[in-house]
Amino acid sequence: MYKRVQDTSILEKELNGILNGIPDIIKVYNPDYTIAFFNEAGYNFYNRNPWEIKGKMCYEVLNRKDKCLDCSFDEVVENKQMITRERYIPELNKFMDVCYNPVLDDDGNILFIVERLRDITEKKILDKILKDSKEKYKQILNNSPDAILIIVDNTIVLANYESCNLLRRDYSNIIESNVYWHFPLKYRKVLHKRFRNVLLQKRMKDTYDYEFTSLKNKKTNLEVCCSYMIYDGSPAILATIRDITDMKQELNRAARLQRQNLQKSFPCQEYFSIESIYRPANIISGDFYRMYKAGENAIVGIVIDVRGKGISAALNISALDVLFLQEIAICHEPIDIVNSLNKKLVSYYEENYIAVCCFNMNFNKKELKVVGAGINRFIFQKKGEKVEEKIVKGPFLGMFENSDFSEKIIYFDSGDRVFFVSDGLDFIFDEDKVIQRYMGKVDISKFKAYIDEFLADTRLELGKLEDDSTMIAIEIK
Amino acid sequence: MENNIMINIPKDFVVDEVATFRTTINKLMEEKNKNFTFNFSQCHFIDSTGLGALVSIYKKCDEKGGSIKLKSLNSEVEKLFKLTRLDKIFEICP
Repeated sequence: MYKRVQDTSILEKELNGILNGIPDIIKVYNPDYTIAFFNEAGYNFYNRNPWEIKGKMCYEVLNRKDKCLDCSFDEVVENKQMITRERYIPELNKFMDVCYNPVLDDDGNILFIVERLRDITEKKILDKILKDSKEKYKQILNNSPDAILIIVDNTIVLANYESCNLLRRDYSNIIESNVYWHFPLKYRKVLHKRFRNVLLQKRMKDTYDYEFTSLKNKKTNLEVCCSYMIYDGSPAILATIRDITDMKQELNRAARLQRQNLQKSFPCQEYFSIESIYRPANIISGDFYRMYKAGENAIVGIVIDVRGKGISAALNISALDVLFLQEIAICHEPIDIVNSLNKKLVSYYEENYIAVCCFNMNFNKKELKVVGAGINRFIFQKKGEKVEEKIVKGPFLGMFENSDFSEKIIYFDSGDRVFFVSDGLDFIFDEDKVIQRYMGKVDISKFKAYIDEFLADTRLELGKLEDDSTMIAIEIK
Repeated sequence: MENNIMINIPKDFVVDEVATFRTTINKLMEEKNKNFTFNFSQCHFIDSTGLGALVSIYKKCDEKGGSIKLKSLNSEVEKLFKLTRLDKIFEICP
């Protein structure tokens, strides 16, 4: 007995320096389950001094009279192998990760049992909060009328009932599956790019729509709205999916009407060549252009850019088209047309201000008159010279009853060119003038092809254009 | 001296931001505020929706005898105000 006490003291002395440097609680027990010694973290954890606990049973440290029901010592002694488990200590209201490790002599007899405890209370509480919040997420998601997915590392980690309906798959086929697998092959590359951008730029409400074809060849349009979020500590994407098939069909019908209504042949074309670009950002365009004959050898035209890109934009465009036609029945002077349109619109369009650029080209006088209202810049190029950016100042139509619009008069000759653009093509006016230099060197059909390609690339890159893009390029014959 | 409220205009003052901005200003106006200074120091871009919102707020403030000042416009944003002649409507401060 004396030798055992001596051994323990020597062991405690030798190991103290090491054990006290360990933040975990280390408790060393004798084979009879009495306490040999603790490390400093152990004394601090139980708020006891060495002399208070040495020789006591472990449960006595917690002021218990009997050993714990789930005591692991018997198992360690019997199997002489290390065991690890989680334990809750009610007296201390702590969750502990406990590891029991028997120290054996050369004959395989137990010399000591070392118990290592790590306080995992905080982790357990966080796990519970996380579990609770996951449950709440699930509840919220399942109560949503829209299909919702949460995507982490391209894997769907949470999905609601509606998403199963919309994607026409069982929950077990959706959860933990690769998100791209649910989209048609043609979208996968661009989707990967979009998801990456949402995560990198922490984008919110990044919305695109996709066409799905069912096994019965039925087409469905799904709108996917992606927002950055943190889920379970990881960057994630919250994707809300809506079936927009009916709405899309209506929009497509409206867009078709818009395209049909777009002018394809122009008056006085014996005097000029013309190229036009008309690219809606989405389906419906808020841009429009129209040119009418204004007397024997003259034309009057307008480029219109209304706010919005939906059905309201289509209605506004139609209204403006009619109003413009009414105006040119009375006069052909751009300044009079713009002033008159402004007066009519000021009382009708609260905050829905409209941008236009109205022009008149008289081929007898070789005179171009331009008035700007919100579309305040155009390009003019004398044959063989550099392109010039022209400014026609003036507020948007409908902003103020007595708005002041300026008019620019330019005299042109054969080979001169003029370009009118809506603000979707504002990059033409960029400071570096790179595009303007190219514009000056090539013919208008080549320039149109260049802009068409530029817009197609942008659409491929971003999925859609930032704004409706319209251009009329005229070259005098 | 009447209260003048300073509002920071977001980096991209476009359609998504305008809705929040409009709600904020309308609430302030309901609370009888009518003098505003819009700080553009962080604003790099404003679109027609942003301009439209500013004009509408200007009209409402003007009706109530209030004022709108625009402060710290960068050159591109100021250019847009000049092109649309809105520099003649708003008081633009450095």
